[in-house]
Amino acid sequence: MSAALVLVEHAGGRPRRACLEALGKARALGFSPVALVQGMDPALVAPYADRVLASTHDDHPEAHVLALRAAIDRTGAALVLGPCTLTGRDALARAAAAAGRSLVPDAVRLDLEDGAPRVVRPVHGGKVLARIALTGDAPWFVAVRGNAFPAPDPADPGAVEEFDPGIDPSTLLLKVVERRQAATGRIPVTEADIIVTGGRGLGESANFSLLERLADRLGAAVGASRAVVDAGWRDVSEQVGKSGNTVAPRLYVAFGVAGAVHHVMGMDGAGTVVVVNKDENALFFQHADHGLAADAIEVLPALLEELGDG
Amino acid sequence: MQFRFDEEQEFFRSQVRDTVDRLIRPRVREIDEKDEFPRDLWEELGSLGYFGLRHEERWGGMEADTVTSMIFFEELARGSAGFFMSVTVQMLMGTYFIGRFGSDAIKERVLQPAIEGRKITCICFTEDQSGSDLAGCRTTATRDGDDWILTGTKQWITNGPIVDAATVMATTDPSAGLRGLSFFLVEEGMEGFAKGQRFHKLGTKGAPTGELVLDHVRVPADHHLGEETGRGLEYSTDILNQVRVMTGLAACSIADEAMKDAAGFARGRVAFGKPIAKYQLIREKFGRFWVKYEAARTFLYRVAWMIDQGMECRKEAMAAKWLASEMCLEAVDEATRIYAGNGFSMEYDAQRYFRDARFLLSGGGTHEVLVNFLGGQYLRGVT
Amino acid sequence: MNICVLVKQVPDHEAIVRAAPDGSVEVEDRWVTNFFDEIAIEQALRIRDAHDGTLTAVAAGGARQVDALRRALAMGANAALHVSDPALDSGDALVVARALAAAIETLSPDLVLAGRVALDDEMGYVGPAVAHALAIPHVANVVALDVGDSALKADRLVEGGVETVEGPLPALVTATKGLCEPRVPKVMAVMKASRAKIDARDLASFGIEPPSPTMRIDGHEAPPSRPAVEMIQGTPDEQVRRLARILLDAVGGGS
Repeated sequence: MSAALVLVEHAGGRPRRACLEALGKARALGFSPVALVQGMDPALVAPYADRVLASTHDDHPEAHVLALRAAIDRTGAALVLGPCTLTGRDALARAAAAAGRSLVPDAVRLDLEDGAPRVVRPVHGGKVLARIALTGDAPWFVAVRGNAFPAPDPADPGAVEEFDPGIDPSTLLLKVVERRQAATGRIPVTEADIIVTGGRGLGESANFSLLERLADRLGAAVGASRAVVDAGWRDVSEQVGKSGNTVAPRLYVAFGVAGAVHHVMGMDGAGTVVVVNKDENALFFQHADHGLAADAIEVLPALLEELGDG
Repeated sequence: MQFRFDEEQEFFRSQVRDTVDRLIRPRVREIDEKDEFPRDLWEELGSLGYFGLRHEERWGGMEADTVTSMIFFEELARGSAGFFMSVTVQMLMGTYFIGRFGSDAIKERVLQPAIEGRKITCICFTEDQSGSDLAGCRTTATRDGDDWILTGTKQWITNGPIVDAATVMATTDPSAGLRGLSFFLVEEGMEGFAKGQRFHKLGTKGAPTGELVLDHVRVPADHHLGEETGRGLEYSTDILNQVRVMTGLAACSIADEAMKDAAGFARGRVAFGKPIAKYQLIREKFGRFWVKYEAARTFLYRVAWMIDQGMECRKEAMAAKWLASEMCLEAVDEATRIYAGNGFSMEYDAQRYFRDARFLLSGGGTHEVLVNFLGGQYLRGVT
Repeated sequence: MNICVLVKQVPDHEAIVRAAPDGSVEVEDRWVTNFFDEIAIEQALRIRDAHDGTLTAVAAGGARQVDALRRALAMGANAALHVSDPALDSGDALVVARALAAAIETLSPDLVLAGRVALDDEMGYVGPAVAHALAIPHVANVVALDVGDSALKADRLVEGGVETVEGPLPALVTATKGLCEPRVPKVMAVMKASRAKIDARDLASFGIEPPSPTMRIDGHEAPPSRPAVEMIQGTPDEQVRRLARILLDAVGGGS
C-alpha cells in the first residue's frame, strides 16, 4: 500500500480539522496515511494516521518546506495532502515545485482514476467547478478544503516517531523576527467552525457589539463584509470575500450583508448558511439555506435574549 | 469599412471603465441622495488629466479625437448621471470656445486651471423664453468703446451655481435674429455677474443647476469668443453635433446600466415557482432593448466618426440622439416594470435611472423640434 | 535596482461564468487586471521610485494578457515582457511558472513581486514556484514590505496573525490586500500605454523546452446548488424563536 503524506498544521496546539479530514480521505482512497506534525503533541494526531512523523524543525516558512520534502523522501509518499491555509498552501506549493509537480488546491472532491488523483475544485470564485487530473508520475500534491471531506473516526493510534528532516540551518535565508496575533484578539475567521458576519445593514459600527455577544454565545468568530472593513468599522483580518478571507465553516450566519458576488466567493463552501437582511430581494438569500427578511438591528437583541444571553 | 474599435480604443475604454468603477461608482447613490457637488471627485478626475482630453497639448490637453472622447463620455455616464453632466459641460461646452477662440492670456488664466480641475466652467444658452428657439435670445451684448456690456438672465445652467468662468451666448443685434448671436466669456468676480436661484431637479442630482444673472457686466474685447460677431449659430452647430452624440451615448449607458441591474433582479426573483427571467414577457423586454441599444450605439459612433472625418452630419447627430434617448426612456421604464412593486421603491437603483433619464429630453433641442426638422428634411429630399 | 512584477488579466469578478454542456467554461467578456497583481504593481512602483530602479512587468499567456502589461505600463512600469507559447494553453501551473521564471531570469531582478493568487484559476502556485525556479527565497501574503539595497523585511499573513520575516535580496514577494492601494493611472499614461508595442516571445526564444505537463483540465461543471432557501415566517417573536432553534441545531445541541 502506498503512503500518503499529510501536512498536519495546528491551531493553538490542536490539529486543524481539515488536516484530519485529509488523513481520513487518504485512508478512504486506499493509502496508508502518514502525518507530518510540528509544534504539537503527536498523540493528538495518532488516532487518525498509521504513522506520525513528529518533526524536530522550527516553525519557520523555509523549514516547513524542507521538512515536507524530506518527509516525502523518507516515506516515498505517492500522494501529498495538506490544508488550504495560507501557510499550508504556501509550503505545499514550494515543495511541489521542488519536486517538479503542480499543486492543486481547494479540492472539494478527490478520487483516484487509473491510480492517479482526480480533483474537483472551485474556480472563478466558486462559480464553476473544474475537474483536474494529475498526470505524470507520483508524488502528487493536493490541498483540501475544510468541510469537504468527512471527519474520520479516531481508531487505534498509529506509530509516533521523532523525525529529523536534516535541515542545514545555513540554507535558511529568511529569519522570523516576530509573530503577532491579529488585531481583534478574537477567534480568527480562518480558524472558526462557526462564523457570524456583519455588514452595512447593522447600521453603525457600535452595533457590532451585539454581533460579538452572539459570537461569544455561539463560540463563533466575527466576520465582516468588505463594506464595513472599508468604512473602518472592522479590521481587514475579519473580512470574508474575494479580497479578504475564504472560509468554510460548518455554520455561517450573516446579518445585514447584501451578498454580492465578491462576498459569496469567500464563503460559499460553508455548511449551513443563514441570512438575515431587511431586504427580501437581497442577493444573499439565493445562497442561503435559511433566510429571515427582517432588520438585523432589531433581530439581534431579540435573538440574544432568546438564546439566553440577556 | 471598419466597424470595430481598435486595440488602443478598447484598452482606453477598459481603463476609463476601471477608473469610473473605482472612483465614481461607490459614490453614485450618495451623490444622488445628497444632491451635493462632489468636489473631491472633480479634483481627482482633473488631476488624472481627463478634462484635457480634447484640448491642445500646450495647455495640458491630449488632443484626442471625437471617437476617443466619446468612449470616455460613454463610460463616464455609467456612473453618476449628475457628475457626468458637470464633467461634460466642462469638457464639451464650458471650455470649448475658450480653447478655440480665447487669447493666450485667457487660456492661461481660465483654460489651463479648468483642464487641471481647479476651475469650473459652464455654457449659457437657455433663457426663460428661449430654449430650442435660439433666435429668442434676449441677453444683449452692447459695444462700449473696446468693451462689451452684457445684460440678461440665463436659466437651467449646469454648473452655474459653482462656476468660475461662463461662456454666455448673447445677441449683438436683436433684429438680426439667428445672425446676431455671439459668445462671450464672463468670469466670477466681474461686477454685475451674479448667481441667481438654484433649480431642484428630478434627476442628475449632484450637478448644481441654476440661474446666472448679468446686470450690465462689462467685459474686455478679448472676452468675445469668436472670429467675428454674429457667427454664434454657426459655432454652436459645431459643438451641438458633439453634444448630441455625447447625450446619445449617455442615453445608451444609462439604459444599459438600468437593464443590467434589472437583469440581475430578474435572474433571482422567483414568482410562481421560477425566476421571472424565464418568462417570455420579461425576456421580450430585454430582447427589444438590446436591438435598439445596438442600433443607437452603432449610429452614434458612426456620427462620431463623421465628425472626425470633417463630414457634415447635423441631421445624423440629431437623429442618433433622438433614437438613443427614446430607446433609453423606454428602457428605464421597462426596468422599473421588471422590478414590479419594487420599481416604485427608492431603495433600488431602478428609480434613479428612471429619473436621470429625463434629462435626455432637455439637451440639444426638444425631441418635437428635432423630429419635426428631420421629417421636413426627408420630405424635401435632402436627408 | 531591477524589479519585476508578474501580472495576469482575469475575468472581472462580476463576469458571468458558467460551465457549458461540453465541459468547457463560458466566460462573459469582461476582463480586468488581477486584483492582487495591481497591488503588486503599485508596491513595485513605489520601491522602484525609492531606489531609482527599473520595473518590468511580465505576463504569460495569450493576446489578452497584453492588457495586463498595458495596465502596468499605464501605472508607470518602465517595460513589459510578454511570454506567449502554445505550451501555455493547457493552463498547467508548472509550465506557466517555468516559462515566467525563464523570462524573468533574463532580467536579473533584485526583487520579484506578484499577486498572491489569480482570481480565475485560484492556484496560488506561480509565486512560490517561480521563486523556486530562480532559487530565491519567497515571502507570501505580504501586508507590509520594506526593501533596502540588499535585504527586505516583510509582514506576512498567517492564520490568525502576522509574521515578520527578514531576508536577503534577490527574493520574491506575493502581495495581498492591505499592502497598498493601487493608483489610478493618469489619462496621458493610459494613451501612451495603449499605443505601446509589446512583442510576444515564445519559450524557445528563452532557450527552454516546455516541461512535461503535470496536470490536465478535464472539464467543468456547475457547483451543487443549494435547495431553495427556507424563509422564516411568522410574527417577529416566532421568527426569532425559529432562528434561535436553527442556530442551536446547527451549532450542535441545546444551549
